[in-house]
Amino acid sequence: MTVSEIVVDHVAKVFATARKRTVALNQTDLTIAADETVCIVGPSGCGKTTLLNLIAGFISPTEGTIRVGGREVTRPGADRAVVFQADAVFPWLSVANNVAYGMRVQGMGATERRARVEHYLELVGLADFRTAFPKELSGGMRKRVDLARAYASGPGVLLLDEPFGALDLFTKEAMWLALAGVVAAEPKTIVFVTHDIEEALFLGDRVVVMTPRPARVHSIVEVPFGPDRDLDLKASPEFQSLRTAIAHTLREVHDDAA
Amino acid sequence: MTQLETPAPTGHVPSPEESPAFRAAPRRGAGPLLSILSIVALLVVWWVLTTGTGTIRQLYFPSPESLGVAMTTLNAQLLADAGATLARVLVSWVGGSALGVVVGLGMARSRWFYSVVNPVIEALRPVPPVALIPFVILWFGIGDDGKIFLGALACFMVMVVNTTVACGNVPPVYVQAAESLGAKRGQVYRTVVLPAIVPEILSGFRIGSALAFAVIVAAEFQGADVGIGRLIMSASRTLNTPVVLLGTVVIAVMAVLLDVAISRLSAYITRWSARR
Repeated sequence: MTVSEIVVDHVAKVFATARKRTVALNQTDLTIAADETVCIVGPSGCGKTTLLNLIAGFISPTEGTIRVGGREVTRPGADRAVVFQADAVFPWLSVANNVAYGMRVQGMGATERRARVEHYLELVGLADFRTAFPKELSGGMRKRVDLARAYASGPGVLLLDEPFGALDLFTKEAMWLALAGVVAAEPKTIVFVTHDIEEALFLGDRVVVMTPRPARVHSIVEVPFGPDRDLDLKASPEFQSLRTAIAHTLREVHDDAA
Repeated sequence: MTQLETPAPTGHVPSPEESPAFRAAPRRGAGPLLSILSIVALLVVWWVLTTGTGTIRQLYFPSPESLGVAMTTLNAQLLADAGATLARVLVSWVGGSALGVVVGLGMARSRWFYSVVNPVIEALRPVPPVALIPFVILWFGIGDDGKIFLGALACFMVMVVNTTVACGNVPPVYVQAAESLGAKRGQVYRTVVLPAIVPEILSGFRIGSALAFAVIVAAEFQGADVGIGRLIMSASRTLNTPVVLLGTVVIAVMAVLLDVAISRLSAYITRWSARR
């Protein structure tokens, strides 16, 4: 196993156009331990997606450095798979070929590839749909394909950018359990960006609360629940009091900014 | 599935089956029968107006029988003309479209290439290919080459624009996903950009095939040793209207068959697309 600790070191991002400079992310420090799930919550415009894109290597920091597993991030790479909110499953490939995609471009042999495709399809519960095209699947099923594809490509880090934001509540909760199941079977370092506080508390080991204008980390909440979580957890007093506390924080910072 | 039904971008008239809003109309199974009836009715009206009542004189619009007579008397000549036109269309269409796709891909991939090529293409694109016929006859004579050149030029222009636009329409999220799964730049191009633009490329092919017919027949009007355009032109000089009409019908039949073949093939190739 590769140890994939993420170190965000004095990172800031400024988008500069001829007219104006927009500070998308103020100087930020954050360390995410290997195989830890960190959820980042905050209102839109707080720079959480910017932070994720920086770790993914889609954009480069204006200041500071990001290291994943000790190596500095300069461009996107197979060690950091991303699951987006938008539907990013390739519609022209069958479910199985989507899951195989990362392994294929990385040059893995066909036999090993096939075995891994089966394994991950099994893990997300889509083994019966291996030959289907994505258009034949529901939105939740396509997200499972996306998740299996990301996992199968063998990254140390999984970056999720509001992956379940477009799903209805029931599908969303089913996806939480699916993700938790996959993570339990094969732990990874996970950064999960969301604006849903319950989602963050349900999935995260820690929850990072970010604030807009200035876009920065406000506070970090340790989530005290163990690894085996079920949906009843949402109703527990401890869960609800944490949820309320974070909601208050977000409301305060939001009012300050607005 | 709750996919939004978006009509195919170009060159495609949705039939009632494809647009749910109209589905109330003819009962299931009645559609093909009605279509056949409509054609038969048209033929009957045609016959009644020409041979039957003589309302329309033979010279202005020939009767169905005279078309049959023209076909049997021409026979081998008609086949040779139709074959020549079809061969020119196919060669120019395939060649011009292929070159157009390649140049379009190049323009989408390299800024440098785009800056060099785009102004030339933008300057030439508004020129209707038929306006070049006098020059083409001057350069190539009245054989195959000039006609193929013109047809290819028309298809080339359609496909260059079509391909660059299609490349620009590839959702960035596909490219980012591929990169984060380990694809290198060349691999992204081959495994994401190329398959993603296939539906738009195929609809460009359809437009191109119709355009190639139009341009090539027009060029044959202006001078050709063989071809449907030549057949029509020489018949019109002697007011042999049955042959003129026959030529038109032959073009229509060939164009429709080619179009049906392309759309069948592309429906199969893009069976993954949510648009279908």
